[in-house]
Amino acid sequence: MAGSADVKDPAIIRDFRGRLARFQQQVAAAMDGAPSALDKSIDQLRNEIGPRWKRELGKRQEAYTEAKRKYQEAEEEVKAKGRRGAVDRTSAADEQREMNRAMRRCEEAEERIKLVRSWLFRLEGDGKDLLARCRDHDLALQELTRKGMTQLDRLADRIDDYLQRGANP
Amino acid sequence: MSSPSADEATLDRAMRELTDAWQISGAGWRDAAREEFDRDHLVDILWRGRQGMKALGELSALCSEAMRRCG
Repeated sequence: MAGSADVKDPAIIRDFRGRLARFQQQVAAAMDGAPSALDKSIDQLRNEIGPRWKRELGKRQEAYTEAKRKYQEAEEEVKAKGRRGAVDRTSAADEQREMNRAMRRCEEAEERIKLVRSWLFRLEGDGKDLLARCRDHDLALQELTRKGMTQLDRLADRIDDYLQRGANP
Repeated sequence: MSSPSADEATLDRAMRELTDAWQISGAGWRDAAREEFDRDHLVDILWRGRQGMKALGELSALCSEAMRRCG
């Protein structure tokens, strides 16, 4: 190889070898962050967002219970007095609307809780599969760059030998 | 701790820097050994790098989507 080499200076090869070593470090740094990023997302869903929606559901259920009580009271009032003209109201429609709204807010919170569960499931499944793929690529890249650096060392050493032989025939 | 998207950007930058350095080295190194290195090592390294970046990107998208949908 050295006989047909066209390299102005083996330092060019060594410089690129240094660049490859830096690439190896950058890959390791990038891949190292992936598990903690996934863990953070899982942790946020499990320990922050999920419990927050459960607390929110509790509050909304209380609001619904209260709205329902008001609606029933209003209904009673309309039935008992409204027909006799003793009260201004002719129906409990406003209270019923409020109750229905409170019920929809409960349903929305329940949906969110289901959604958090399903996304937790996805992160534990698909997320961990993707993480395994990242690890595979990381390991392969570490091995490939290691082999590449070894080859560059070999090439640079051969050129050094060739140049030395030329200088000291 | 960095996010997967930041890690993806780090890997992208590393690959671009490596490719640039390879092109620059071509100004003073032109022989069969260089071609062999390109074919036997660099092509695989860059291919793996792209695959790794893709996996990191998908992981990033999955985590972001989970937070967006559930938050």
